[in-house]
Amino acid sequence: MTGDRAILAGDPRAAQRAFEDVAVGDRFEVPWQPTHAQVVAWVKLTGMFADDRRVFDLEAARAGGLDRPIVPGPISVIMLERLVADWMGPLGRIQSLTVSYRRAVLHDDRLRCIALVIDVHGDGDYEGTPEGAVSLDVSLENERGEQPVLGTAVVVMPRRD
Amino acid sequence: MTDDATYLDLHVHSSDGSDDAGGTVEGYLKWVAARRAHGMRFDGFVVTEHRHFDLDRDYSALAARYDAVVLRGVEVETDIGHVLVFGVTPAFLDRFDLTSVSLPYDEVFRVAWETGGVAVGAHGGRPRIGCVEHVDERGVTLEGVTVVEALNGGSNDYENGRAFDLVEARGLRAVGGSDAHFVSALGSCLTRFDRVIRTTDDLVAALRDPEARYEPMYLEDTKDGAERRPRPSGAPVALPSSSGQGSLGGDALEYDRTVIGREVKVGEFEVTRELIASFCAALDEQNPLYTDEAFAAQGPYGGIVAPPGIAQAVRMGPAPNPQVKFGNNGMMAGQRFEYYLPARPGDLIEGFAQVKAVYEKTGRSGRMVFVERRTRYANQHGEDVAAVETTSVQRETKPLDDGGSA
Repeated sequence: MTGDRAILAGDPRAAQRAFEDVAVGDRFEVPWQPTHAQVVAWVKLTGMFADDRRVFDLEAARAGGLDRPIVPGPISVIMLERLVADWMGPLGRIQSLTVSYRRAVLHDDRLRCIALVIDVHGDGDYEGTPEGAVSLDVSLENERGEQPVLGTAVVVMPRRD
Repeated sequence: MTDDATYLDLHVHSSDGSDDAGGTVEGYLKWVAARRAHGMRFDGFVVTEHRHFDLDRDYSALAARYDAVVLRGVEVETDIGHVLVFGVTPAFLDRFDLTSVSLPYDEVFRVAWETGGVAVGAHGGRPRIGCVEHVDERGVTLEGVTVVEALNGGSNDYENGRAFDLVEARGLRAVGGSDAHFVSALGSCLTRFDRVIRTTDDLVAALRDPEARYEPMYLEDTKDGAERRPRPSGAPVALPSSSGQGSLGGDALEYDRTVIGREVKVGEFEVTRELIASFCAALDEQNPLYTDEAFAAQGPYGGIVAPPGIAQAVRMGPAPNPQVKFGNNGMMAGQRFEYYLPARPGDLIEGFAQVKAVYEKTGRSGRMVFVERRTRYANQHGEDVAAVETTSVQRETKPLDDGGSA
Protein backbone atom coordinates (compact mmCIF):
# COMPACT_ATOMS: atom_id res chain seq x y z
CA MET A 1 0.00 0.00 0.00
CA THR A 2 2.74 2.40 0.93
CA GLY A 3 4.27 2.06 -2.51
CA ASP A 4 0.93 2.66 -4.19
CA ARG A 5 0.43 5.86 -2.31
CA ALA A 6 3.93 7.04 -3.11
CA ILE A 7 3.29 6.51 -6.80
CA LEU A 8 -0.08 8.22 -6.65
CA ALA A 9 1.07 11.06 -4.46
CA GLY A 10 2.09 13.22 -7.38
CA ASP A 11 -1.34 13.10 -9.01
CA PRO A 12 -3.85 15.67 -7.75
CA ARG A 13 -6.69 13.24 -8.42
CA ALA A 14 -5.23 10.84 -5.93
CA ALA A 15 -6.15 12.86 -2.85
CA GLN A 16 -6.14 10.08 -0.34
CA ARG A 17 -7.72 10.14 3.09
CA ALA A 18 -6.14 7.91 5.73
CA PHE A 19 -8.00 5.99 8.39
CA GLU A 20 -6.28 8.07 11.05
CA ASP A 21 -7.78 11.24 9.56
CA VAL A 22 -11.35 10.08 10.22
CA ALA A 23 -13.35 10.77 13.37
CA VAL A 24 -16.87 9.96 14.49
CA GLY A 25 -19.09 12.90 13.61
CA ASP A 26 -17.22 13.85 10.41
CA ARG A 27 -19.87 14.94 7.93
CA PHE A 28 -19.70 15.74 4.24
CA GLU A 29 -22.20 16.33 1.46
CA VAL A 30 -22.66 17.29 -2.16
CA PRO A 31 -25.73 18.63 -3.97
CA TRP A 32 -27.47 16.58 -6.63
CA GLN A 33 -30.41 17.39 -8.86
CA PRO A 34 -31.30 14.32 -10.92
CA THR A 35 -32.36 15.28 -14.40
CA HIS A 36 -34.59 13.66 -16.99
CA ALA A 37 -31.56 13.35 -19.29
CA GLN A 38 -29.53 11.57 -16.60
CA VAL A 39 -32.27 9.06 -15.95
CA VAL A 40 -32.81 8.41 -19.64
CA ALA A 41 -29.07 7.89 -20.22
CA TRP A 42 -28.91 5.36 -17.40
CA VAL A 43 -31.99 3.49 -18.58
CA LYS A 44 -30.61 3.34 -22.13
CA LEU A 45 -27.29 2.00 -20.89
CA THR A 46 -28.65 -0.64 -18.55
CA GLY A 47 -31.99 -1.54 -20.07
CA MET A 48 -33.30 -1.61 -16.53
CA PHE A 49 -36.66 0.07 -15.94
CA ALA A 50 -36.97 0.52 -19.71
CA ASP A 51 -40.48 -0.89 -19.60
CA ASP A 52 -41.47 1.18 -16.57
CA ARG A 53 -42.82 4.41 -18.00
CA ARG A 54 -43.05 5.96 -14.53
CA VAL A 55 -39.31 6.66 -14.67
CA PHE A 56 -39.48 8.96 -17.69
CA ASP A 57 -43.14 9.76 -18.46
CA LEU A 58 -45.05 12.39 -16.47
CA GLU A 59 -48.49 11.03 -17.24
CA ALA A 60 -47.50 7.51 -16.23
CA ALA A 61 -46.04 8.87 -13.00
CA ARG A 62 -49.21 10.80 -12.20
CA ALA A 63 -51.32 7.75 -12.97
CA GLY A 64 -49.26 6.01 -10.28
CA GLY A 65 -49.95 8.74 -7.73
CA LEU A 66 -46.65 10.60 -8.13
CA ASP A 67 -46.08 14.27 -8.94
CA ARG A 68 -43.20 13.66 -11.34
CA PRO A 69 -41.33 10.68 -12.85
CA ILE A 70 -39.28 8.51 -10.50
CA VAL A 71 -35.50 8.33 -10.34
CA PRO A 72 -34.69 4.59 -10.16
CA GLY A 73 -33.23 3.57 -6.82
CA PRO A 74 -29.92 2.29 -8.23
CA ILE A 75 -29.07 5.78 -9.51
CA SER A 76 -29.46 7.19 -6.01
CA VAL A 77 -27.22 4.41 -4.71
CA ILE A 78 -24.56 5.16 -7.31
CA MET A 79 -24.58 8.81 -6.24
CA LEU A 80 -24.18 7.85 -2.59
CA GLU A 81 -21.37 5.42 -3.49
CA ARG A 82 -19.66 8.17 -5.44
CA LEU A 83 -19.97 10.58 -2.51
CA VAL A 84 -18.24 8.10 -0.25
CA ALA A 85 -15.66 6.94 -2.82
CA ASP A 86 -14.61 10.49 -3.66
CA TRP A 87 -14.28 11.31 0.05
CA MET A 88 -12.13 8.22 0.72
CA GLY A 89 -9.76 8.50 -2.18
CA PRO A 90 -8.71 5.82 -4.65
CA LEU A 91 -7.23 3.45 -2.11
CA GLY A 92 -10.39 3.21 -0.11
CA ARG A 93 -12.85 0.41 -0.76
CA ILE A 94 -16.58 0.14 -0.15
CA GLN A 95 -17.25 -3.14 1.60
CA SER A 96 -21.03 -2.88 1.88
CA LEU A 97 -23.85 -0.41 1.47
CA THR A 98 -27.36 -0.88 2.77
CA VAL A 99 -30.08 1.55 1.78
CA SER A 100 -33.74 1.92 2.56
CA TYR A 101 -35.91 3.71 0.01
CA ARG A 102 -38.39 5.54 2.24
CA ARG A 103 -40.01 7.73 -0.40
CA ALA A 104 -39.71 8.18 -4.13
CA VAL A 105 -36.94 10.38 -5.52
CA LEU A 106 -38.40 12.36 -8.40
CA HIS A 107 -36.90 14.07 -11.43
CA ASP A 108 -35.63 17.57 -10.63
CA ASP A 109 -35.76 17.08 -6.86
CA ARG A 110 -33.15 19.31 -5.24
CA LEU A 111 -31.23 16.83 -3.13
CA ARG A 112 -28.27 16.75 -0.81
CA CYS A 113 -26.18 13.59 -0.73
CA ILE A 114 -25.01 13.42 2.88
CA ALA A 115 -22.61 11.14 4.76
CA LEU A 116 -21.83 11.08 8.47
CA VAL A 117 -19.12 8.97 10.11
CA ILE A 118 -20.78 6.95 12.87
CA ASP A 119 -17.97 4.60 13.86
CA VAL A 120 -14.31 3.83 13.25
CA HIS A 121 -13.20 0.26 13.76
CA GLY A 122 -9.56 0.59 14.61
CA ASP A 123 -9.34 -2.67 16.51
CA GLY A 124 -10.58 -4.67 13.56
CA ASP A 125 -12.75 -6.96 15.65
CA TYR A 126 -16.08 -5.14 15.56
CA GLU A 127 -18.88 -7.05 13.85
CA GLY A 128 -16.59 -8.78 11.42
CA THR A 129 -15.21 -5.62 9.89
CA PRO A 130 -11.50 -5.54 9.06
CA GLU A 131 -8.94 -3.20 10.51
CA GLY A 132 -9.27 0.23 9.03
CA ALA A 133 -13.01 -0.02 8.52
CA VAL A 134 -15.23 3.02 8.90
CA SER A 135 -19.03 3.05 9.16
CA LEU A 136 -21.00 5.93 7.73
CA ASP A 137 -24.68 6.75 7.63
CA VAL A 138 -25.60 8.04 4.18
CA SER A 139 -28.76 9.76 3.05
CA LEU A 140 -30.46 11.85 0.44
CA GLU A 141 -32.35 14.85 1.77
CA ASN A 142 -34.90 16.76 -0.29
CA GLU A 143 -36.19 20.32 -0.10
CA ARG A 144 -38.88 19.36 2.40
CA GLY A 145 -36.25 18.06 4.79
CA GLU A 146 -37.36 14.49 4.13
CA GLN A 147 -34.89 11.71 3.66
CA PRO A 148 -36.18 9.61 0.77
CA VAL A 149 -33.10 7.37 0.87
CA LEU A 150 -31.32 6.35 4.07
CA GLY A 151 -28.52 3.90 4.46
CA THR A 152 -25.29 2.83 6.04
CA ALA A 153 -21.95 2.04 4.42
CA VAL A 154 -18.90 0.21 5.66
CA VAL A 155 -15.67 1.20 3.95
CA VAL A 156 -12.08 0.11 4.39
CA MET A 157 -9.43 2.80 4.32
CA PRO A 158 -5.63 2.65 4.28
CA ARG A 159 -3.58 3.55 7.32
CA ARG A 160 -0.98 6.27 7.08
CA ASP A 161 1.98 4.12 8.10
CA MET B 1 -25.84 11.39 35.53
CA THR B 2 -26.18 14.50 37.63
CA ASP B 3 -29.77 13.99 38.79
CA ASP B 4 -32.46 11.35 38.88
CA ALA B 5 -33.84 12.20 35.46
CA THR B 6 -33.56 9.62 32.70
CA TYR B 7 -33.44 10.40 28.99
CA LEU B 8 -34.60 7.47 26.88
CA ASP B 9 -35.31 7.08 23.19
CA LEU B 10 -38.43 4.90 23.26
CA HIS B 11 -38.60 3.92 19.60
CA VAL B 12 -35.61 2.31 17.86
CA HIS B 13 -35.23 -0.37 15.19
CA SER B 14 -32.11 -2.44 14.67
CA SER B 15 -30.73 -4.81 12.09
CA ASP B 16 -31.27 -7.61 14.62
CA GLY B 17 -35.00 -7.66 14.00
CA SER B 18 -36.24 -5.03 11.56
CA ASP B 19 -35.82 -5.72 7.86
CA ASP B 20 -35.60 -2.02 7.00
CA ALA B 21 -33.03 -1.05 9.62
CA GLY B 22 -29.28 -0.73 9.11
CA GLY B 23 -28.23 0.25 12.63
CA THR B 24 -26.78 -2.34 15.00
CA VAL B 25 -27.38 -2.20 18.74
CA GLU B 26 -23.66 -1.82 19.39
CA GLY B 27 -23.50 0.89 16.76
CA TYR B 28 -26.31 2.69 18.55
CA LEU B 29 -24.48 2.36 21.87
CA LYS B 30 -21.36 3.91 20.37
CA TRP B 31 -23.52 6.76 19.10
CA VAL B 32 -24.92 7.27 22.60
CA ALA B 33 -21.35 7.63 23.84
CA ALA B 34 -20.55 10.06 21.02
CA ARG B 35 -23.61 12.21 21.80
CA ARG B 36 -22.68 12.29 25.48
CA ALA B 37 -19.20 13.46 24.49
CA HIS B 38 -20.94 16.41 22.82
CA GLY B 39 -22.65 17.36 26.07
CA MET B 40 -26.03 15.79 25.47
CA ARG B 41 -27.99 13.89 28.10
CA PHE B 42 -28.73 10.45 26.77
CA ASP B 43 -29.13 7.41 28.98
CA GLY B 44 -30.26 4.78 26.53
CA PHE B 45 -33.00 3.49 24.27
CA VAL B 46 -35.69 0.90 23.77
CA VAL B 47 -35.36 -1.49 20.83
CA THR B 48 -38.83 -1.82 19.33
CA GLU B 49 -38.54 -4.09 16.31
CA HIS B 50 -41.37 -4.30 13.79
CA ARG B 51 -43.86 -7.13 14.40
CA HIS B 52 -41.32 -9.31 16.17
CA PHE B 53 -40.32 -9.92 19.78
CA ASP B 54 -37.74 -12.49 20.81
CA LEU B 55 -38.21 -13.32 24.50
CA ASP B 56 -34.69 -14.72 24.78
CA ARG B 57 -32.77 -11.74 23.45
CA ASP B 58 -30.94 -9.70 26.10
CA TYR B 59 -28.80 -6.60 25.56
CA SER B 60 -28.02 -5.92 29.22
CA ALA B 61 -24.38 -7.08 29.13
CA LEU B 62 -23.69 -5.13 25.96
CA ALA B 63 -25.40 -2.06 27.41
CA ALA B 64 -23.35 -2.31 30.60
CA ARG B 65 -20.14 -2.08 28.57
CA TYR B 66 -21.28 1.35 27.42
CA ASP B 67 -22.83 2.41 30.76
CA ALA B 68 -26.18 2.74 29.03
CA VAL B 69 -29.70 1.39 29.25
CA VAL B 70 -31.03 -0.83 26.47
CA LEU B 71 -34.56 -2.12 26.95
CA ARG B 72 -36.87 -3.96 24.59
CA GLY B 73 -40.42 -3.58 23.36
CA VAL B 74 -42.18 -4.18 20.08
CA GLU B 75 -43.93 -2.12 17.41
CA VAL B 76 -47.10 -3.83 16.20
CA GLU B 77 -49.55 -2.79 13.50
CA THR B 78 -53.21 -2.23 14.31
CA ASP B 79 -56.38 -0.92 12.75
CA ILE B 80 -55.52 2.60 14.01
CA GLY B 81 -51.87 2.47 12.99
CA HIS B 82 -48.70 1.38 14.68
CA VAL B 83 -48.48 0.78 18.42
CA LEU B 84 -45.46 0.41 20.71
CA VAL B 85 -45.81 -2.17 23.46
CA PHE B 86 -43.50 -2.13 26.48
CA GLY B 87 -43.39 -4.93 29.03
CA VAL B 88 -44.06 -7.67 26.51
CA THR B 89 -44.86 -10.96 28.24
CA PRO B 90 -45.48 -14.51 27.04
CA ALA B 91 -49.12 -13.96 27.95
CA PHE B 92 -49.26 -10.99 25.57
CA LEU B 93 -47.51 -12.89 22.81
CA ASP B 94 -49.94 -15.80 23.20
CA ARG B 95 -52.83 -13.50 22.38
CA PHE B 96 -51.63 -12.02 19.09
CA ASP B 97 -50.02 -12.93 15.80
CA LEU B 98 -47.51 -10.09 15.74
CA THR B 99 -46.99 -10.45 11.99
CA SER B 100 -50.56 -9.30 11.36
CA VAL B 101 -50.81 -5.79 9.93
CA SER B 102 -54.29 -5.00 11.27
CA LEU B 103 -54.55 -6.15 14.87
CA PRO B 104 -57.57 -4.74 16.77
CA TYR B 105 -56.11 -1.76 18.61
CA ASP B 106 -58.50 -1.88 21.57
CA GLU B 107 -57.51 -5.51 22.22
CA VAL B 108 -53.80 -4.68 21.97
CA PHE B 109 -54.07 -1.83 24.47
CA ARG B 110 -56.28 -3.82 26.84
CA VAL B 111 -54.23 -7.04 26.78
CA ALA B 112 -50.96 -5.13 27.13
CA TRP B 113 -52.33 -3.49 30.27
CA GLU B 114 -53.86 -6.69 31.69
CA THR B 115 -50.60 -8.60 31.20
CA GLY B 116 -48.58 -6.02 33.10
CA GLY B 117 -47.32 -3.91 30.22
CA VAL B 118 -48.39 -0.73 28.49
CA ALA B 119 -49.15 0.23 24.90
CA VAL B 120 -48.42 3.60 23.28
CA GLY B 121 -49.78 4.95 20.00
CA ALA B 122 -46.75 5.32 17.72
CA HIS B 123 -46.06 8.37 15.49
CA GLY B 124 -49.57 9.62 16.16
CA GLY B 125 -49.70 12.22 13.41
CA ARG B 126 -48.63 10.15 10.43
CA PRO B 127 -51.06 9.39 7.61
CA ARG B 128 -52.58 5.91 7.88
CA ILE B 129 -50.19 4.56 10.51
CA GLY B 130 -50.83 7.13 13.24
CA CYS B 131 -53.98 7.31 15.34
CA VAL B 132 -54.87 10.97 14.64
CA GLU B 133 -56.20 10.29 11.17
CA HIS B 134 -58.37 7.43 12.45
CA VAL B 135 -59.85 9.69 15.10
CA ASP B 136 -60.48 12.51 12.64
CA GLU B 137 -61.85 10.45 9.77
CA ARG B 138 -63.49 7.45 11.43
CA GLY B 139 -64.35 8.75 14.88
CA VAL B 140 -62.23 6.11 16.64
CA THR B 141 -62.67 6.56 20.40
CA LEU B 142 -59.13 5.53 21.41
CA GLU B 143 -60.43 3.03 23.93
CA GLY B 144 -57.72 2.30 26.50
CA VAL B 145 -55.21 4.70 24.95
CA THR B 146 -53.45 6.86 27.52
CA VAL B 147 -50.08 7.65 25.91
CA VAL B 148 -49.22 8.71 22.37
CA GLU B 149 -45.83 9.23 20.76
CA ALA B 150 -46.30 12.87 19.79
CA LEU B 151 -42.67 13.64 18.98
CA ASN B 152 -41.33 11.14 16.45
CA GLY B 153 -38.03 11.55 14.64
CA GLY B 154 -39.39 10.08 11.42
CA SER B 155 -42.38 12.40 11.26
CA ASN B 156 -42.35 15.96 9.97
CA ASP B 157 -43.40 18.96 12.07
CA TYR B 158 -46.92 18.91 10.68
CA GLU B 159 -47.40 15.28 11.61
CA ASN B 160 -45.92 15.75 15.07
CA GLY B 161 -48.03 18.88 15.53
CA ARG B 162 -51.18 16.93 14.78
CA ALA B 163 -50.20 14.36 17.39
CA PHE B 164 -49.64 17.06 20.02
CA ASP B 165 -53.03 18.56 19.14
CA LEU B 166 -54.69 15.22 19.79
CA VAL B 167 -52.82 14.69 23.05
CA GLU B 168 -53.92 18.09 24.33
CA ALA B 169 -57.51 17.75 23.12
CA ARG B 170 -58.00 14.31 24.67
CA GLY B 171 -56.00 14.76 27.86
CA LEU B 172 -53.50 12.07 26.90
CA ARG B 173 -49.82 11.81 27.83
CA ALA B 174 -47.05 12.37 25.26
CA VAL B 175 -43.71 10.65 24.76
CA GLY B 176 -40.92 10.98 22.21
CA GLY B 177 -38.86 8.54 20.21
CA SER B 178 -36.55 8.75 17.23
CA ASP B 179 -37.94 5.82 15.22
CA ALA B 180 -34.31 5.37 14.23
CA HIS B 181 -33.50 2.76 11.61
CA PHE B 182 -29.93 3.99 11.15
CA VAL B 183 -27.42 5.05 13.76
CA SER B 184 -27.24 8.80 13.24
CA ALA B 185 -30.99 9.20 13.79
CA LEU B 186 -30.82 7.68 17.26
CA GLY B 187 -32.12 9.94 20.01
CA SER B 188 -33.16 12.76 17.68
CA CYS B 189 -36.36 12.71 19.72
CA LEU B 190 -36.57 11.10 23.14
CA THR B 191 -38.43 11.16 26.45
CA ARG B 192 -37.26 12.75 29.69
CA PHE B 193 -38.47 10.96 32.82
CA ASP B 194 -38.25 12.62 36.23
CA ARG B 195 -37.10 9.39 37.79
CA VAL B 196 -34.51 6.67 37.38
CA ILE B 197 -35.37 4.17 34.65
CA ARG B 198 -33.05 1.19 34.45
CA THR B 199 -35.33 -1.73 33.63
CA THR B 200 -38.39 -2.48 31.57
CA ASP B 201 -40.36 -2.70 34.82
CA ASP B 202 -39.22 0.85 35.69
CA LEU B 203 -40.32 2.07 32.27
CA VAL B 204 -43.69 0.37 32.38
CA ALA B 205 -44.35 1.60 35.90
CA ALA B 206 -43.68 5.17 34.82
CA LEU B 207 -45.87 5.00 31.75
CA ARG B 208 -48.73 3.38 33.68
CA ASP B 209 -48.54 5.90 36.52
CA PRO B 210 -50.83 8.87 35.87
CA GLU B 211 -48.82 10.89 38.36
CA ALA B 212 -45.44 10.15 36.78
CA ARG B 213 -43.71 13.11 35.18
CA TYR B 214 -42.32 12.61 31.70
CA GLU B 215 -42.21 14.62 28.52
CA PRO B 216 -40.96 14.35 24.92
CA MET B 217 -38.03 16.46 23.85
CA TYR B 218 -35.29 16.84 21.27
CA LEU B 219 -31.85 15.44 22.02
CA GLU B 220 -30.19 18.74 21.12
CA ASP B 221 -32.24 20.41 23.86
CA THR B 222 -30.71 18.19 26.56
CA LYS B 223 -27.45 20.13 26.50
CA ASP B 224 -26.80 22.30 29.50
CA GLY B 225 -28.10 25.77 28.78
CA ALA B 226 -29.88 24.76 25.58
CA GLU B 227 -33.10 26.59 24.88
CA ARG B 228 -36.07 24.23 24.64
CA ARG B 229 -37.70 24.33 21.26
CA PRO B 230 -41.48 24.78 21.27
CA ARG B 231 -43.50 21.73 20.38
CA PRO B 232 -44.17 21.44 16.62
CA SER B 233 -47.23 23.23 15.33
CA GLY B 234 -49.99 21.61 13.35
CA ALA B 235 -49.65 24.08 10.51
CA PRO B 236 -50.33 22.13 7.33
CA VAL B 237 -47.56 21.46 4.86
CA ALA B 238 -47.81 19.84 1.47
CA LEU B 239 -47.60 16.09 1.91
CA PRO B 240 -46.27 13.94 -0.92
CA SER B 241 -49.11 12.80 -3.13
CA SER B 242 -48.14 9.19 -2.49
CA SER B 243 -49.16 9.42 1.19
CA GLY B 244 -52.39 7.96 2.48
CA GLN B 245 -53.64 6.30 -0.69
CA GLY B 246 -54.15 2.69 0.39
CA SER B 247 -56.11 1.05 3.18
CA LEU B 248 -54.67 -0.90 6.14
CA GLY B 249 -56.70 -4.12 5.94
CA GLY B 250 -57.64 -6.58 3.21
CA ASP B 251 -57.67 -10.23 2.20
CA ALA B 252 -55.04 -12.73 3.30
CA LEU B 253 -51.81 -12.51 1.33
CA GLU B 254 -51.53 -14.92 -1.62
CA TYR B 255 -48.28 -15.84 -3.36
CA ASP B 256 -46.31 -18.81 -4.68
CA ARG B 257 -44.34 -20.14 -1.71
CA THR B 258 -42.46 -22.74 -3.78
CA VAL B 259 -39.97 -20.19 -5.14
CA ILE B 260 -38.65 -19.15 -1.73
CA GLY B 261 -34.95 -20.00 -1.29
CA ARG B 262 -34.47 -21.54 -4.74
CA GLU B 263 -31.42 -20.04 -6.49
CA VAL B 264 -31.41 -19.93 -10.29
CA LYS B 265 -28.97 -18.54 -12.83
CA VAL B 266 -30.40 -15.37 -14.31
CA GLY B 267 -27.70 -14.40 -16.81
CA GLU B 268 -24.12 -13.49 -17.48
CA PHE B 269 -22.14 -10.64 -18.97
CA GLU B 270 -18.56 -9.78 -19.82
CA VAL B 271 -16.99 -6.74 -18.19
CA THR B 272 -15.50 -4.72 -21.03
CA ARG B 273 -13.67 -1.42 -21.17
CA GLU B 274 -16.51 -0.15 -23.32
CA LEU B 275 -19.10 -1.11 -20.72
CA ILE B 276 -17.12 0.63 -17.98
CA ALA B 277 -16.69 3.73 -20.13
CA SER B 278 -20.39 3.85 -20.99
CA PHE B 279 -21.36 3.45 -17.35
CA CYS B 280 -19.06 6.29 -16.32
CA ALA B 281 -20.22 8.53 -19.17
CA ALA B 282 -23.90 8.02 -18.39
CA LEU B 283 -23.51 9.22 -14.82
CA ASP B 284 -20.56 11.58 -15.23
CA GLU B 285 -18.31 9.34 -13.15
CA GLN B 286 -14.75 10.68 -13.21
CA ASN B 287 -12.87 8.47 -10.74
CA PRO B 288 -9.56 7.76 -12.51
CA LEU B 289 -9.51 4.18 -11.21
CA TYR B 290 -12.34 3.54 -13.67
CA THR B 291 -11.52 6.01 -16.42
CA ASP B 292 -7.75 6.50 -16.76
CA GLU B 293 -5.63 3.54 -17.84
CA ALA B 294 -2.30 5.13 -16.92
CA PHE B 295 -3.48 6.24 -13.51
CA ALA B 296 -5.20 2.96 -12.73
CA ALA B 297 -2.12 0.98 -13.78
CA GLN B 298 -0.28 2.52 -10.85
CA GLY B 299 -3.21 2.13 -8.44
CA PRO B 300 -4.13 -0.59 -5.99
CA TYR B 301 -5.55 -2.93 -8.62
CA GLY B 302 -2.84 -2.57 -11.28
CA GLY B 303 -5.31 -1.51 -13.95
CA ILE B 304 -8.79 -0.24 -14.62
CA VAL B 305 -11.57 -1.79 -12.60
CA ALA B 306 -15.31 -1.40 -12.85
CA PRO B 307 -17.24 0.90 -10.51
CA PRO B 308 -18.92 -1.09 -7.74
CA GLY B 309 -22.36 -0.68 -9.29
CA ILE B 310 -21.41 -2.19 -12.64
CA ALA B 311 -23.40 -5.35 -12.02
CA GLN B 312 -26.49 -3.22 -12.02
CA ALA B 313 -25.61 -1.80 -15.40
CA VAL B 314 -26.49 -5.04 -17.11
CA ARG B 315 -29.97 -6.37 -17.28
CA MET B 316 -30.19 -10.00 -16.24
CA GLY B 317 -33.04 -12.38 -16.88
CA PRO B 318 -36.05 -12.29 -14.60
CA ALA B 319 -35.55 -13.46 -11.04
CA PRO B 320 -37.93 -16.07 -9.64
CA ASN B 321 -41.37 -14.51 -9.20
CA PRO B 322 -43.55 -15.32 -6.20
CA GLN B 323 -46.62 -14.01 -8.08
CA VAL B 324 -47.88 -11.84 -5.24
CA LYS B 325 -51.56 -11.09 -5.68
CA PHE B 326 -51.72 -7.60 -4.23
CA GLY B 327 -51.42 -3.99 -5.28
CA ASN B 328 -51.28 -2.07 -8.52
CA ASN B 329 -47.96 -0.30 -8.07
CA GLY B 330 -44.49 -1.53 -7.23
CA MET B 331 -41.15 0.03 -6.44
CA MET B 332 -37.90 -0.67 -4.62
CA ALA B 333 -38.01 -0.48 -0.83
CA GLY B 334 -34.37 -1.15 -0.05
CA GLN B 335 -31.11 -2.67 -1.22
CA ARG B 336 -27.97 -4.08 0.31
CA PHE B 337 -24.77 -4.24 -1.70
CA GLU B 338 -21.82 -6.36 -0.68
CA TYR B 339 -18.59 -5.97 -2.62
CA TYR B 340 -16.00 -8.71 -2.30
CA LEU B 341 -13.66 -8.35 -5.28
CA PRO B 342 -13.19 -5.76 -8.02
CA ALA B 343 -14.56 -6.65 -11.45
CA ARG B 344 -11.96 -6.19 -14.18
CA PRO B 345 -12.16 -5.93 -17.96
CA GLY B 346 -12.37 -9.45 -19.35
CA ASP B 347 -14.18 -10.89 -16.35
CA LEU B 348 -17.20 -13.00 -17.17
CA ILE B 349 -19.80 -12.40 -14.50
CA GLU B 350 -22.68 -14.78 -13.84
CA GLY B 351 -25.73 -13.82 -11.79
CA PHE B 352 -27.68 -16.19 -9.56
CA ALA B 353 -30.93 -15.01 -7.99
CA GLN B 354 -33.33 -16.26 -5.37
CA VAL B 355 -36.39 -15.00 -3.50
CA LYS B 356 -35.57 -14.86 0.20
CA ALA B 357 -38.91 -13.83 1.71
CA VAL B 358 -42.36 -12.36 1.13
CA TYR B 359 -44.15 -10.42 3.90
CA GLU B 360 -46.48 -7.48 4.51
CA LYS B 361 -46.63 -4.38 6.69
CA THR B 362 -48.23 -0.95 6.75
CA GLY B 363 -46.88 2.54 6.14
CA ARG B 364 -47.95 6.08 5.26
CA SER B 365 -49.38 4.79 2.00
CA GLY B 366 -51.37 1.98 3.64
CA ARG B 367 -50.87 -1.78 3.30
CA MET B 368 -47.70 -2.92 1.55
CA VAL B 369 -46.32 -6.30 0.47
CA PHE B 370 -42.55 -6.79 0.34
CA VAL B 371 -40.52 -9.28 -1.69
CA GLU B 372 -36.85 -9.82 -0.77
CA ARG B 373 -34.52 -11.08 -3.51
CA ARG B 374 -30.78 -11.79 -3.43
CA THR B 375 -28.58 -11.87 -6.51
CA ARG B 376 -25.07 -13.23 -6.23
CA TYR B 377 -22.48 -12.30 -8.87
CA ALA B 378 -19.57 -14.69 -9.48
CA ASN B 379 -16.61 -14.39 -11.87
CA GLN B 380 -15.17 -16.99 -14.24
CA HIS B 381 -13.02 -18.35 -11.40
CA GLY B 382 -16.07 -19.18 -9.33
CA GLU B 383 -15.32 -16.35 -6.91
CA ASP B 384 -18.16 -14.22 -5.62
CA VAL B 385 -17.55 -10.65 -6.76
CA ALA B 386 -20.61 -8.99 -5.26
CA ALA B 387 -24.09 -9.64 -3.97
CA VAL B 388 -27.16 -7.43 -4.09
CA GLU B 389 -30.24 -7.90 -1.97
CA THR B 390 -33.24 -6.00 -3.23
CA THR B 391 -36.50 -5.55 -1.41
CA SER B 392 -39.41 -4.44 -3.58
CA VAL B 393 -42.76 -3.22 -2.32
CA GLN B 394 -46.18 -3.49 -3.88
CA ARG B 395 -49.01 -1.21 -2.79
CA GLU B 396 -52.33 0.18 -3.88
CA THR B 397 -52.33 3.67 -5.39
CA LYS B 398 -54.84 5.98 -7.02
CA PRO B 399 -54.24 8.26 -10.01
CA LEU B 400 -53.79 11.89 -8.98
CA ASP B 401 -56.77 12.97 -11.07
CA ASP B 402 -58.99 10.48 -9.22
CA GLY B 403 -58.75 11.75 -5.68
CA GLY B 404 -55.29 10.35 -5.12
CA SER B 405 -53.76 13.62 -4.06
CA ALA B 406 -53.28 13.70 -0.31
